[in-house]
Amino acid sequence: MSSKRVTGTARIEMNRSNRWTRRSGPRKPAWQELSPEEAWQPFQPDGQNPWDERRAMHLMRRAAFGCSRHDLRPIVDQGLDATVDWLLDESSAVEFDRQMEQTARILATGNDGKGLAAWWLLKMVQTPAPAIEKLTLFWHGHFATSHAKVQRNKAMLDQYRLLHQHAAGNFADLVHGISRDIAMLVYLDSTDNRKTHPNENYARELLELFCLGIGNYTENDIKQLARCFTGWEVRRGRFRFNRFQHDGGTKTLFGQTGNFDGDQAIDIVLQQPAAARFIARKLIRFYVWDERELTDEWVEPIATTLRENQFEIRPALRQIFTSRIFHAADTRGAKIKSPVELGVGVLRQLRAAINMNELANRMQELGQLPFHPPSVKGWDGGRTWINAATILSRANLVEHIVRSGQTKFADGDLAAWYQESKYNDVADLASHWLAVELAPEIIRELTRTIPAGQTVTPNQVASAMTQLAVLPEFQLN
Amino acid sequence: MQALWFGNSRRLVHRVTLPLVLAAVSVVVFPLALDAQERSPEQIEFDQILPDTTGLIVSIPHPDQVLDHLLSHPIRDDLEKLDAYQSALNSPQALQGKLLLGLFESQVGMTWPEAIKSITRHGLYIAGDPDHEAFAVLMRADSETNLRKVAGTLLNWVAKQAEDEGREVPFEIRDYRDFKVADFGVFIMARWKSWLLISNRKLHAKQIADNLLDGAETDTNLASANWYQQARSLEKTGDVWVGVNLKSLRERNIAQELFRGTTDDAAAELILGGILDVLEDSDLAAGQLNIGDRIDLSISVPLAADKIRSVREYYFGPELTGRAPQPIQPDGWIASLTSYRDLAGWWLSKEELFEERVIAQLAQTDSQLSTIFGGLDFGEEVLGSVQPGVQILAVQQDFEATPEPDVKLPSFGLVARLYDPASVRSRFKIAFQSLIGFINIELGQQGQPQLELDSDRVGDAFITTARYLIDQPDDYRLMIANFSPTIAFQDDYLIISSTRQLADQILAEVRQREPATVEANTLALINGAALKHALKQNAEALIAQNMLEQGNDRKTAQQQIDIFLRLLDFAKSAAVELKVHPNRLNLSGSLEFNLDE
Repeated sequence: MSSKRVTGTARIEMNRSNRWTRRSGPRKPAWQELSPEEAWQPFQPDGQNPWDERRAMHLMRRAAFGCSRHDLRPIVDQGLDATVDWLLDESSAVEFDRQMEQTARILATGNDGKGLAAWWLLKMVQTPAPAIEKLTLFWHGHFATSHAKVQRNKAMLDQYRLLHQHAAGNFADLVHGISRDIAMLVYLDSTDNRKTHPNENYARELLELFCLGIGNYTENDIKQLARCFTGWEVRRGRFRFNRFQHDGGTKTLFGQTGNFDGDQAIDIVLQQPAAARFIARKLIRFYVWDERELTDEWVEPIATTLRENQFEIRPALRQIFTSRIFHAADTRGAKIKSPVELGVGVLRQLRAAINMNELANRMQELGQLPFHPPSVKGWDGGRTWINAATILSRANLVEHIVRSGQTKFADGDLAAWYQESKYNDVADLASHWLAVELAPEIIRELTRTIPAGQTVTPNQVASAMTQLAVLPEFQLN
Repeated sequence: MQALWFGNSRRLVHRVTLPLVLAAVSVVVFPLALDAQERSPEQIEFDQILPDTTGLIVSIPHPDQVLDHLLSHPIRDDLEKLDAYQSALNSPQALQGKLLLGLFESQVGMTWPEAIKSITRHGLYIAGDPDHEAFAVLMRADSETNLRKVAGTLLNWVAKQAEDEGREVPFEIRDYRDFKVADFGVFIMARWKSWLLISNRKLHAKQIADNLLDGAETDTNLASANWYQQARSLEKTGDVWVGVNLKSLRERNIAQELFRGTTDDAAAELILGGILDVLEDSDLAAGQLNIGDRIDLSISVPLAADKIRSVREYYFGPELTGRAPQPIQPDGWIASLTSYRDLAGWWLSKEELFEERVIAQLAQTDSQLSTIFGGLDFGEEVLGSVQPGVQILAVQQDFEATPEPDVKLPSFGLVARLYDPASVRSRFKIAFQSLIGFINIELGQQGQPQLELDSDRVGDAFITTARYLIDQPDDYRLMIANFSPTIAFQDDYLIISSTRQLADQILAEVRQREPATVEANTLALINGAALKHALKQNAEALIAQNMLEQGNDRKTAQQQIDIFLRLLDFAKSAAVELKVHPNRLNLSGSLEFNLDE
């Protein structure tokens, strides 16, 4: 929708007075200027491309859910490397996670899937480790499982805990864990897998959606893999290995032959060259570009990092978040905000709180209710988030947050938040909130909402926010 | 002159500057009355000036005393000691409110309670007129001067606020006879001597104003209305007295649900059926509220025995003599509902009580329950074996014997008496076993822990209990740990409870007492301390709910739940009872406080 504005010939750079200026003249986008090797090299801030608020906010928007300007200042001060360290470190949230776990135990006693979604949204809004929560959301979309079919809060929560625990950890651990996960096995109708009739559902999804992708396996691989998983069952809500139903015969999987069980088979699958590329591609799509063609040569540097680190996720993410391509100007705004990124992001940036059940309802309306992906393929993302109905609902969500009398602001009200954020004017506000630069005529229009030189009122800030929210640029990340 | 009242208005404060507005308000609205009137304000009773079309009247003869009660209530001191109260008092909004209040008090020369007491010293009355869709608020102050001062200050504020916000002043000032009127468009405020009148309908206000000045004809005022006189005799005047002309509401199709005489909900029928029956034909209702160390509410409607449908005999008993059993209150009881209800009569009258859809559902249930009871007719033979008069109660549960579940529910129990226990006891026991069997099949399909039945005899009591067979310690955290469904028989008592623990407690109680009844048809009780304990046991669930509904972090949610639980400290008990007198039906409620804590 606004790609021309983002990747067009004009480029936007910050001048010495810390204001954004547009330079005219043709220039290739960074992904065409850089080779794949150069693209994933570390970004080195310099005078022309400094580590500043704009870049820090870009990192926070992509790696997490954005942050208030108040919270952005220490991030700029500490620099890129320290920020990425902090983002990928879950230890800051240990106490918070413990407290939320107490709440989760209550929810586990019931079967209200939307309540569960509200709980996770609350966690995303309040966590001191937002990047880990966002990464968990990524894995939830990758290993998609829906409460609509599973119908058990406890099983869905157990899966969430697994994804959260290994979010920035080891992908192999995740695959081994998810293969025993009750919610996943129920979702894929794989609670029974007998040696006389091997259930191919899970084997197929493991290869196609979780580890390798289409074109990197054969039908025979599926059949052989399904045999390895025979005897893996769900009984009375728990995983059980039924040795009497396990096929103890010889299997040949990706050229290796032996009496493999499920765990050994997973290790063989992950040894395939396509496995690291498959995960690297998905990570790049989630964090860098929604729609750009990603050839293997573009993916390979990240895949190599995954292989060299035995599928540890953290080093690959570090490489992505600190790369030249990630911080290139035309990468900003190259993604469309998902509904969760939008809703959670607005609340975090405004330092606001609303009824989370209401937020869950809105997420459902916008097509991304956590714990309820539409299919085993997860959410398609990208342009599919936007249509005539959702664009209106997105703006309505922001309006609801800023106008509802029920919204609570950590700073007291919107005017106090605006002042605490030290916005100079509406252009400054837009510059912090949007991933791309606005045209001067739009800025002029917005400036009417908060005229210069007046004491800012909550109503004025609400008007500015609602006007921002209807802009196409607001939907970009 | 009357035509001028609302017709040729003069917009005095339209598009003028603030000083002019304030001056206009001060000069035009608040001069002393010009002439001495023939009628003295002190000689007038509110019910003589309200029209006889009044259908609802709320009378507070001594608002100053009510306010004094509230402000000097022992609970108030305790509330003010709460940290939450103190921090709320110091919030920016509260401080701003205090500032405005201080300004108001300095302008009127009285504290705000004094100001309220002063302008309502001789009564505050709220009247509704369904004929004209009008309401009127009347109050009589202790002095004209004070009323003028308070009303003037408020109007000045409204004018100033509008001026500050760049809006037009939202009222016009005019005279009507000796009244000074502020017309806000959607309502008017009119003052004459020590009387203040507020109404949403100008003609309605005019009629009341004329009555005030001239006196109403004695056969057209409220005091002469038949319904009002009857209502006055039904309930004596308390701190607050309310009278409602139900006939007038019914004729105008207001609150139709109240007058249908039936409900489509079988459970609601058990609780409310008799009341709906009486309301269907009642012309009026009266109530009183008394606020002291405790709060008491009483509502009465006239009762004509011959107008009650025979089908409601299950509710009131033969010749309205049905009385609720004396409640059993074991240790830790939280809530109890006892009532006279002939369950067989209720079930067998379903065709006359409910609409087709509900009858069809009940018929299906009848068939299923008859199967569970081995072919016995559920209405005639099963419910027919139970004497009228049942109790439902909730009691605290302790979890010492098992690891605590995450959600801790109270125990629930039902107590009734059988006509012929020896002949039906085994039938009830077998039905209980069958029901547990059905549940076990369902649980087995879901892979959930199943229930194991066990029967024993303790003294004269026959007890059958089903307990979950839990082989995974983790399952104790689930809600199933709250349940050990039990059926028990002692003499002619039938006890069904959600836990064995409660069944044992009830059995211990019934062994020590003779069956008795209370004066009421229905009696509901709540024990404040036990309720608080039950909620405190589930503080974690309340915190979770608060976090999700308010978007609060855990610390804030915890603080808010703590405040809620602290407030419950003040509630000692609550009771609601329905009494059937020879000529009236009375519903009363009371709320008692812990004044010593």
